[in-house]
Amino acid sequence: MKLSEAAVGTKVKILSVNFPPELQGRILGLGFVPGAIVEVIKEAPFGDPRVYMVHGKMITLRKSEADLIEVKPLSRQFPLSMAEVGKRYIIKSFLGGPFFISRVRSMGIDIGNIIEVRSKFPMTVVVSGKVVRIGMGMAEKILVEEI
Amino acid sequence: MSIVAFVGNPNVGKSSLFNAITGARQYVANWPGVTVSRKEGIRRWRGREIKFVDLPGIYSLGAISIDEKITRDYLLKESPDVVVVVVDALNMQQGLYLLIEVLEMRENVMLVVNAIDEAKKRGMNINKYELEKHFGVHVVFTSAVTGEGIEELLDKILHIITTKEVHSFVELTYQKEIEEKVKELEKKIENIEDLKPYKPRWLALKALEGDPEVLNLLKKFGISIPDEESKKYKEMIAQRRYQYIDSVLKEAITSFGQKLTISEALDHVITHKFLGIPIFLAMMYLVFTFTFNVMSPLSDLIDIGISNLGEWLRNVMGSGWVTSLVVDGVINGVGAVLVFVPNIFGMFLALGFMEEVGYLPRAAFVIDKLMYKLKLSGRSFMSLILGFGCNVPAVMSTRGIADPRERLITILVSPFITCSARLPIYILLAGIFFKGHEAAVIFALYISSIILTAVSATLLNKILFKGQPVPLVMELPRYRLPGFKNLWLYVWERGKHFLEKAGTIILVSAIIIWFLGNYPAPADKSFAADLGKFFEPIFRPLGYDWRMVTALIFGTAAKEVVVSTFQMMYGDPASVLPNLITPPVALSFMFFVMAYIPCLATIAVIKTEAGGWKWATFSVLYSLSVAYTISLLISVIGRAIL
Repeated sequence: MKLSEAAVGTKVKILSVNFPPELQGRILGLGFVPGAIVEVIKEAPFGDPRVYMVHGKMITLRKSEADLIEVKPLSRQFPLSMAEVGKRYIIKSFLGGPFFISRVRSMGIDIGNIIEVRSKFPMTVVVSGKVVRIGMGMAEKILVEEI
Repeated sequence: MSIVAFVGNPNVGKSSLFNAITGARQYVANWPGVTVSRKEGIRRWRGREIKFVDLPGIYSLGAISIDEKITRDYLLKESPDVVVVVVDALNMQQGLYLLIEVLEMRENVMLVVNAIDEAKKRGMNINKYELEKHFGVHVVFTSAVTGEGIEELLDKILHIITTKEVHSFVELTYQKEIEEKVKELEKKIENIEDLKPYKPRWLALKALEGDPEVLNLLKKFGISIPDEESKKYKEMIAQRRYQYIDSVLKEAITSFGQKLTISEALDHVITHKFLGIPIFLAMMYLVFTFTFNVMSPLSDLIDIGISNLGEWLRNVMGSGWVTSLVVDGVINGVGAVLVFVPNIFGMFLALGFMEEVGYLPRAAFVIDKLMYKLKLSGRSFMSLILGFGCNVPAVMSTRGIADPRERLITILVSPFITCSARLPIYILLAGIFFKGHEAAVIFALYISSIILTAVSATLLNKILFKGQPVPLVMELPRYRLPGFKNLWLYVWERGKHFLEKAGTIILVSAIIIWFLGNYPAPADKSFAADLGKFFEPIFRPLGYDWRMVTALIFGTAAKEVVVSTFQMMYGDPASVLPNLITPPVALSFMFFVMAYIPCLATIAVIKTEAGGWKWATFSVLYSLSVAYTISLLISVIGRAIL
């Protein structure tokens, strides 16, 4: 898959870098080399460009540039918004700030808990023995893994 | 004299270190890529004079961007006695990559790990001896802020100059496939006399990396590497370098310390998906408020001072042509511009603060999507925004734009942004012809000026560069507390340019205009009148009076001059003008003022910044034709309707 397709908050490993020759050297020099681990930090308003963390530096790339980097997912984590109905997942991490984290915690959603998706649109989940309605925006910030 | 060159990534504190050593006053920005061309300085140390050269910040030594080329050519041709590679203690990887590249090219290299104070504060522990052992270079820890390690660095530099001892020899071995190829190429290269000045291994590696300059050089001797092979090798070589760096750092860094929580928390809000743009707008609004409202009492003060000086001189010198030249010409002419000095300094202070803290790259990130549509990047938006104050600093600030295409486009379109000097003309004419609707008319002019800028950017990009978008590969530096000295340097370096202009171009044009307006006889019979009447036929389709034409011509010196020329020619424009022209013609005139020729100061900066008269001439002709077309349309349509 392309780096541009990796979800915010996930980590991927670079397979190949295919920039035109005049930019290739700079991109490789910045640390986007095959085998390097890249974390998708955040996206700008309107979804483009995005900030990536590679070899300890925060670098911005537009979608058109991130398209040129071929990657494979490193973790099996993905946002809850992409989860399937009826399946159970384990909560791995949050993408939001401290306000977001305290809000979801008060709903019983915490790292390590098991979450089951009852329905999507609107999204209903079962977590800590309770049935909770959550918004899609929230679901995008909760990273889960299949059990 | 021995020469020492500083090399490193952008924003690692190379320039601060350079300033700390040489005592030079080079502004250091928290914005990657401040050193556009190289800076030099001299320091005496233990009885020896050493010349220091600060080279542009780069990420690799490929000779593709201007910065990379400057640095590489310097290292190859000027052959400094010591090359100091500077890396950021908090994030050494990319810097060490550059170190490996430099080491492959030359021998007398050493490493400086800068910002060591910040690393210590975070509880990070770096082992110097591991770095020395694995890279085969002397290592010094420094802090340009606290001054720590500077003496040690100077001693180490002197040591390398006098003894040529560079620690030890470590050569990074690549994958088997690469090493075999390198051996093969090295054998061929060693036999060629012309290639003796270069290290064979360096040439071989660069050839495998597909470096266009090296390949061109080798082609003369029948050595070539197919493109698809070099693409593969280039990736492999870069990959191996980073593998090595990672393995060294695993041993060298024993404690990473705590993460940078303040930076992260700030970033969460400032570059937020929804809050990002409102925060950006609020910041820009603050810059404007600071520039115009906070600074205006100072402007008023200068204004009062200038008119008092004029009055006093008139009393002392009596009446006569010399008095008129000095007071009406020089003092009022130059004074009209000096009034804006506090605004200019205020704007640079506000922007300098934002740049210093590290906000500018983030603002560019936040609004990049919009600029992408114009084939520009968020960075050029920052320059254009400045244009609302004055086009001169707007053009000057494009120095921070790394991409030369983007920089040129930004320079050429920025004069269309309505600067504060045009506002008096709008206010005067809107007040006479559009009473009750002044705000709407002026707002329309501002919006039109933005649209014109956007359209021009798209158009010029299509014509000049066939619409290639500018890539946005930008580093977001960590936040930094602004240093007072640095901030003052930022303001002064930029502001003094404006003062110099006031003392030269504006002064000269003020004198010229005074002569033209008063000889052979004042007003109607002056050269100024002849000038206006001469060009009037060209403006007849637009419906302009000859005095308006004269004002336009004088207005090229500085757009404020249009208003003062009106005053001089009409006496009381509010009662005279309505009998001469209709509201559509007045509107047409306002649009003409908005778009036509950038003022002399702006033309001058366009010339220096864009490199030559070619672009300055282009800018003048382009804006003149745009202004004429738009104004003609307004006049003709207006006349047809009424």
